Amino acid sequence: MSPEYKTFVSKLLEKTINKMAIWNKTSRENEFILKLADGSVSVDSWLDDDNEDLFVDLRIWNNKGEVIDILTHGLKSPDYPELKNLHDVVKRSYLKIDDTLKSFIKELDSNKVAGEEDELPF
Amino acid sequence: MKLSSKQIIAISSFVILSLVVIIIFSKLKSDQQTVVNFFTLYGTFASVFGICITYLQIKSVKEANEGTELAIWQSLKRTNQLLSVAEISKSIKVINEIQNYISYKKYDLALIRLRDLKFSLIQNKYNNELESIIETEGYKKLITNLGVDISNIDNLISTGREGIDFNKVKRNLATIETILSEFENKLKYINHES
Repeated sequence: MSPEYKTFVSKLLEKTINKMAIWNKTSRENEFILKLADGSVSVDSWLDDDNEDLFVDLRIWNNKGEVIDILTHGLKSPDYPELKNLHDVVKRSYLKIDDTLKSFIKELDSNKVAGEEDELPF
Repeated sequence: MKLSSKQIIAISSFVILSLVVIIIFSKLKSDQQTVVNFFTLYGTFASVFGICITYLQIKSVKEANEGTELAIWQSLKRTNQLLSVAEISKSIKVINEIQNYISYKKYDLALIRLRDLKFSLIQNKYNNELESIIETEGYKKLITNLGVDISNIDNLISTGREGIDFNKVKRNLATIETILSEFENKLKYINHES
């Protein structure tokens, strides 16, 4: 990965961790996109059916909806962990996993009874 | 022949000013009241009057041309609006077509029509009447989302890479349809004189 991309990925990571980036889901089940002023950036992770290999990609889109650059890395690539980490952080941010966990912990720490009883059929 | 008010004013001015020239001529000393002096005086007046009339004529022709230009421009603008409405209606039909192709899993045909739709959305950017809607971030996002859907379906066809949520693609198309309907109404009921 070029130094520019390394900086770009670390900035994306920082912005996402600080909850300053609003990612949205695309039509692919594991792909997320962030809209910026002059275009968009998307991250995706998938399992290749033929090779049974894991891939992660980062795509740069212009405002006409055209891909202008793609970084794709397989599991064996040295840059894979960096992009996979970004994808995981983005996914957690989009699904609000950390916030949900925090809320669960808060609820479990309280003295309130957790859960609700089902209405019995008799 | 009925004279226009401007013509009546011009003739009246000519007659009155001719009388003024005759009065000025009559006030001259008797040795200066020659035929040559009369024609010199009257000729000068006639030349100045002629220049004024010519100036007013040119101004009037210019105004008429400007009026014609404005009428042509308004007519051209209206024609463009009608063509845009037709184009937008066509795009809405294309969206319905794409949704059918997706339902029947004819992704190659859906891809062709998706590209046509994207072309239309980009073309709308050059319609001045729609500028207020098109310059919004929401519209740019629609084009990007459509580009992503095109790329994903293209990958599915060319590399067999699955994992596309076609319900999401349909939802994106439904959003575009709503925006295009807004454009259509805006163009249909726009003030023609503006």
